[in-house]
Amino acid sequence: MNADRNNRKLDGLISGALGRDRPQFDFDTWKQTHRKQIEIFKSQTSGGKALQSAKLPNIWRTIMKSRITGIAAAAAVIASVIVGVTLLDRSAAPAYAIEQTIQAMRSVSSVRAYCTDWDGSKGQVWVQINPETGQEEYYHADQGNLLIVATPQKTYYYHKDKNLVRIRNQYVPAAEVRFSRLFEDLTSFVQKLNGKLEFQSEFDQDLQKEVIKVRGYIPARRDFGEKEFMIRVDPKTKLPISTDTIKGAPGQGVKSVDRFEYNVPIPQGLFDFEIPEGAEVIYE
Amino acid sequence: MQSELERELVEAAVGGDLESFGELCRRYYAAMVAVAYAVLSDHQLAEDAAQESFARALVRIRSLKDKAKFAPWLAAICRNVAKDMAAAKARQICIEDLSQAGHNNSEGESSRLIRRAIERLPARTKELIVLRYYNNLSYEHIASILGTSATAINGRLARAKRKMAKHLKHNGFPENRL
Repeated sequence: MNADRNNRKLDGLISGALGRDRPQFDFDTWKQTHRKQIEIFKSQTSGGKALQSAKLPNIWRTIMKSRITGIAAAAAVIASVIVGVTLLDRSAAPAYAIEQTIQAMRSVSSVRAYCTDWDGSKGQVWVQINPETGQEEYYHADQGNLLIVATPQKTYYYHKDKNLVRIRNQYVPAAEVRFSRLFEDLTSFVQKLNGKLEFQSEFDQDLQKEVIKVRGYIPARRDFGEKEFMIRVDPKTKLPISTDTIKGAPGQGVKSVDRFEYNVPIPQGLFDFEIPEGAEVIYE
Repeated sequence: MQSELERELVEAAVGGDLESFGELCRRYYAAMVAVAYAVLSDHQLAEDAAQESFARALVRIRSLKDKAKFAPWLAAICRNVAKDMAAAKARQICIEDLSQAGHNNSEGESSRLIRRAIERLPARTKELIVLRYYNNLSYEHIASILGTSATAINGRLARAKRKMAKHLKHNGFPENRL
């Protein structure tokens, strides 16, 4: 060791050429600029399972094996995707608050949504959710000239104006964004289309109360028109109150959901579809 | 060699204690800046790379298998971050970059020749030299970052300096100054 350490001349020359004052690290400043990573780190700890990477694509597949862990990890991923966050619950960190929202969505076993479509027609959607898995099992959507009834085995589309029934031998979700996985699916969907999401807590003039507004924007693509929407979430229950499509086009879903009701009793036989007399039937 | 305190800090950080992770960052910041500087040859970028490597490490720390090798693991992340940054900016480590402090006087010329000699070293040897002389890190600290012993560091440094001296002499550097 001495032979090297005694080579003082060369040591001095190299130090002179390279040497710098030792840089100081300010962890508090670093924390301010790396909030997303801190959220992910904290969610890993609270969920008891690590994400393997901060990379986002296809992450849902890997994090949804355990329900509770999945919720925490999903919240962390959502928090890392959304571009702006004002705390959902002003006392909670974003990932934790989003986690509460996801958890609230999973406690719902049925939903009744009152919708308005682009032509001004009013409709209703009923969704039955398996509380064990959080998965939708049945839905009934009656909007304008179209009635859809979906069961685990079949999905029926009844075009009232044509007296036509189309039948598919599988459960077809009503939209790419499932209600029971609203924020997870929405995040994936927006991310896939290079859009952005913002969560902000603000006073709503129409409702005259503080709500969480989830705003989403998806830029126009060749196969998908520009879309801008807003979801109001109740800060107490952490459940959506209403949704509005600010920019969009017919065929991209209903224009607005004016009201949601949760855990309401589903009328008996609502998901039993009977082919109307004289209707043309097409199996797809 | 990792100290008992460092081992506890790593354990706590893996367990979710953010402040312990922060303390590890403070301990290894200078070293990570040096690791990044060996790749980037830019002081500001090297600090950015070190900080980015902490961010990557934070979200991956639960995947750290051997907690005794936290520092080499962190250094590997930092090397990759620095390489990514170098590629992104299409920066090549060039003599002109390293000679950015060069002056026209004889001392500046000496520094330029020294930097040129460092540039010619293989990447890992260059990193070792930068770790040792950029922030004057101890042999023991360097050994912990590279996952080896202080004795091995001494041997590698001695060989690196011999190689540099040979290059310098060959390029007309006054022998009496070496």
